[in-house]
Amino acid sequence: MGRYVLNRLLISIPVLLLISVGAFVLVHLTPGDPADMYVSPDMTKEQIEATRIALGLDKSWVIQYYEWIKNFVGGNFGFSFTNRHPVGEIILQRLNPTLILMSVSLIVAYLSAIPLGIVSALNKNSFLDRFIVGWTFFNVSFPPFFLGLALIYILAVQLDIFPTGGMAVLGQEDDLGSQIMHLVLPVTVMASQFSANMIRYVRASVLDVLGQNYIRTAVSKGLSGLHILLFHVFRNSLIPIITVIGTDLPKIIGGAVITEQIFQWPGIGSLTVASIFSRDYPILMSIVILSAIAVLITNLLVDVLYAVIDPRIRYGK
Amino acid sequence: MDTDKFVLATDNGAFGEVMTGTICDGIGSSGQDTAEEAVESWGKITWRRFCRNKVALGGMIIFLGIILVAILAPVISPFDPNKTVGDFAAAPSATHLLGTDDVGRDVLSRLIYGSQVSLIVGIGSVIIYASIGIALGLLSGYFGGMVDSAIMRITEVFMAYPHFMIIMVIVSLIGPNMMTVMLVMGFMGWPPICRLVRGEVLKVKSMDYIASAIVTGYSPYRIVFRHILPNVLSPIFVNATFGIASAILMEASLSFLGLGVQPPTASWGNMLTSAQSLTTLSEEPWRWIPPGIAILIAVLTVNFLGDGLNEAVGGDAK
Repeated sequence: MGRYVLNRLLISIPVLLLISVGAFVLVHLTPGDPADMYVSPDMTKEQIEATRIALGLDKSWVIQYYEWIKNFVGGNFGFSFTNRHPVGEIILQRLNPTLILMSVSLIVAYLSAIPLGIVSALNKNSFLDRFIVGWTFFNVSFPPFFLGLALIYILAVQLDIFPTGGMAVLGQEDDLGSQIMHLVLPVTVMASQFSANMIRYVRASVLDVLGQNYIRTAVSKGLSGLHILLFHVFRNSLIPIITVIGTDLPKIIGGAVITEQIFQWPGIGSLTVASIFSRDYPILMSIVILSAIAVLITNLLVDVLYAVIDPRIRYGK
Repeated sequence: MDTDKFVLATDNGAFGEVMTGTICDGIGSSGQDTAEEAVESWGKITWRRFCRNKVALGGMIIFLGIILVAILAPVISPFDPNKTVGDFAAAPSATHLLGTDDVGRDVLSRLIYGSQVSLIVGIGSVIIYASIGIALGLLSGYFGGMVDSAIMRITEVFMAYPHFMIIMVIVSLIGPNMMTVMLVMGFMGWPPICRLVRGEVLKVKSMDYIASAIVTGYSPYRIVFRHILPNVLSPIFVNATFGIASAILMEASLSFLGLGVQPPTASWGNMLTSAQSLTTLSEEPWRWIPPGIAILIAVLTVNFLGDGLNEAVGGDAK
């Protein structure tokens, strides 16, 4: 097991390097000079050149990449082109709101999806099952921005139950009740997407397990339905569930670009959009690479977790 | 092992049909004709099974309707979608059935022309990434070894980037318009199909008819395209159909953020952009509800279509 993890980590190094080169090349292939961001019309040629040198833009790409990756590994992510703050600080500041939004959304989604998926599978082809499956199709097909706007229109504007956006009322940031009210709509949008996917996987997975011989054995042994459900069916359905969690988790860092944008949620997603519009390359590169690292780490954790949960899975030769 | 194969072949009638055909081809008896006939009957069987699913059939009919609207847009659209033809932000009326937008363009006409963007980007990007994914997946699965591990590493790199975010960043960096959205989605979307095809190829590769084809002395090219590809097509089709649904959704999302198709070109996504302002959202609902519903219907019908197809070919591809 330890060797397997080590192997996976070693394989991740070239992948990570390629990811960082990809992000760097991508950002530097773009038309337009980032130095333009600092240049005001009344600056002289020499002043413009000085700005370029200060930003390191006069050096070759290879050196720029080397300098950047060296700093990156050391935890120095560079400085924002727009406001000169350290990128690490900016991202850290935006990480918290995203983490709150995503973790609440995931918990709400899973707590509703797992029971729904099981109920759906246990009553296969019943009216309830068809309704739940139809509901998941509806949810994955609903454009998140349309759902968000519709919720704002009905529940915030017309009925005035929830705020239209933001994380808290200015000046009352510590008011927990108001914070929860601000969370409800964006969480609804996020959770509807996450849960739809999870319901479908749980349903398929439970159906698969129900058809196995050991379930028939358990039934004929006279075990109670609840016991079979919890210790035979659910435990064996965990693998696909973890796969879904594994694909959901990296989205925590990437943030929910659209949801955050619509609800003016001050997280990583809205930071990304703002950085695109202001061509703030250091922020963009850092977000892309940090999210890619998050994906790699989650993949590794998921693989290890498979082996922990299912003793049949053994890695290494 | 043998029981496994037996179950696989009988479980999935379609698979058995094609296999018989290809075995004949492999042995070299009547050859091509038999294979072609078998492929046709596979299509018939799939179609018959597909038709049993009424929801999927309904989805297909509505989706064909949307395609028809896109093709006939110049004929059925009441106004020029990009020209000011009425008052600014006027409510729906007899002349403008869905009202007008902030610069007096007819919302219904823009809705009709928007279907073209959704379909071109949705179908176009999937064709691009399916071609790349199939080619690399076949290479990777059939040849294995160094080729396989190189392609798999590249796949890992591509899959590590958060999908929506990386597409958004690339599109905005090279300049957002319909073409770049389609191309970037096409060039970034291939890894899942590549993995799928590779897995299927590995499954098929161990079958006897491939061994017999190799023994017969067919070229790798012929084996890959005549013997392996036809047998891995079903999951690819299912995957591609669901892919169209997500591509339509992604184009709409990018355009909504202002990072996709740019006005004045009408796209369902960018018609909703203005609803980010509370005034438009609350006072001019005719401007954002119709395109929102249009996206929902298009994506929903394609998803139903994909589900029906999945059931019909008896697969479990996601």
